Amino acid sequence: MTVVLAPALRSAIGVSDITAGKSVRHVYARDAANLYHWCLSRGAQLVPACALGVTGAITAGDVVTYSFYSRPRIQTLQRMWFIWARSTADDVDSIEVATPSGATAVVYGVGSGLTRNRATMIAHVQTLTAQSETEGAITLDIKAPNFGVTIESIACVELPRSQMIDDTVDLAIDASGFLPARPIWTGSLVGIGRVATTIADSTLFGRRIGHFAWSVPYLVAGASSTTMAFTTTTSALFSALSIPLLTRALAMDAAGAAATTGALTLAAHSRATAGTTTVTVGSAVATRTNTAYGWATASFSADSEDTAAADGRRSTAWSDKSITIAHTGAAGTSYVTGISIYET
Amino acid sequence: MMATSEYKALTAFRTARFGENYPISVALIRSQLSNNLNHYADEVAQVRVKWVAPTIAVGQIAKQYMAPIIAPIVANVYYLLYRAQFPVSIRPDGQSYRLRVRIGGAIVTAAGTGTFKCSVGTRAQVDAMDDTAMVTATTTSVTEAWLTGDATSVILSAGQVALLAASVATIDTIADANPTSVAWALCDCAVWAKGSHVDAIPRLYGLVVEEYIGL
Repeated sequence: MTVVLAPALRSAIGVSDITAGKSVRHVYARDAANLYHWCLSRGAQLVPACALGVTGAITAGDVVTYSFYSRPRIQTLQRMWFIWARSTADDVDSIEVATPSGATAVVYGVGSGLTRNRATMIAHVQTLTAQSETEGAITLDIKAPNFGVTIESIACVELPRSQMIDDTVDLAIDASGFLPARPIWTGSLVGIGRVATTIADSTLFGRRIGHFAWSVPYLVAGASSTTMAFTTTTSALFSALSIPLLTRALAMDAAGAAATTGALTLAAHSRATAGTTTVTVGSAVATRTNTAYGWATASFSADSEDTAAADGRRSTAWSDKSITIAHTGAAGTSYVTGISIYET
Repeated sequence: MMATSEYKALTAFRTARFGENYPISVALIRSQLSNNLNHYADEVAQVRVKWVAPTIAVGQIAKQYMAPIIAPIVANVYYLLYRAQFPVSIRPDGQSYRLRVRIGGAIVTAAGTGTFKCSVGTRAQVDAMDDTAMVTATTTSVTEAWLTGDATSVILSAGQVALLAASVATIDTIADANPTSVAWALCDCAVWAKGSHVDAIPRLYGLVVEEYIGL
């Protein structure tokens, strides 16, 4: 087992000197190893920053629970939550944050709520108990112990690694043997061989994970709540504004052109008093008939970036998609408390 | 040139060519390994901010926009409507990845113009509405819409990125009892808005900030 330093700065592999008739030098393998480790170690945005505070304040004394859904990176050991909060009173206050839901809470101070300029950005670190890339819920408890507190923004990002291990979990490689006059590869599971094996699967490497996230509390003081849920008995657009979605541009097709679409997953956290709740984005329909809250997922295709365009937009469009929430079947009410769109 | 990879996409990859006893050829290193690693690194750009306001009765408010919370609202005074914090990806030349910015907004009454400014940078810069990396958009409509800004993206210079450098405590293994530190560039983003008339109160209905290599 070798400990490998993860580079904080991105390198680029200069290819102009890699030409026919010249030997491939060890320095290219070094560059490749550095870039490979940079991609593995920097961490991804699981929950893009979203505005939630306008759904109302957390009542003093209540613990509320948010739930997001994602597929994290296996290299991640810790996450950082960025929470922008303010008191509902003209006074400093505190909140208690616990991740995942039910964990030991940490207390933070928050500023007066009479102006956003005095609100507080909290950085809360969640330490994981195991490395995993399994799709699942990412939960967060927030308690306002004294006054009410308005949560205006939540985001979650994986903390970068400072060093990694050359094992089958971290997938780092030992590049110490990339020296002049020595081979730059020594087998399929080490050195450049492991780089090749890993990057051959784009679902394991370099993912742009979180594309959209919205969540409101589905538990208040541990009890199921509909107070802040998106509620409908028929069908409604989630928002008047459609959501721009641009995936990574990945493989070339058989004709040598870069792919113009990519795959995303929709996850919806919902319940219905009777009948069915559906959340639709593009061709994805996340369906639930349960009377208790839970997640449903579905996959769909979205435009990928145009890497030949100055800002990456395809044909200068934002590639918007709308979200529709519907109640069908037996008469009842559908409640949606979370929508996540992410790359698997 | 918009990307660091030669082909701006992944080339077909034959893992077996990297197996035991295969020679490392120029084609393998250049067209597959180097191109694909550069392209992955380009496309590992992350979505940092993305939200839209739900439309119908959610919670206590019918529309979930962000509006000034100070009354009375004064004309031509900027109010802070939204703030976020996130790490920004850095290109090999020291600049940030390009940040695509999109602002959704409207005003309450058709009595003037609402102006929205999304500023990205250090906390001091966004607090001061520094225009080094800023997208500005205006509207005279009372109907929420994505607005056409004066730019679709901004970029942070290497000098600005240096100001964002931060060190954060972390661990190296699960249950590690000896914390270490890791470097990243931690960026603030804020949206400020004003109305040209006291009744043209600005409302923010959506915001997008997403990275793109965009050399």
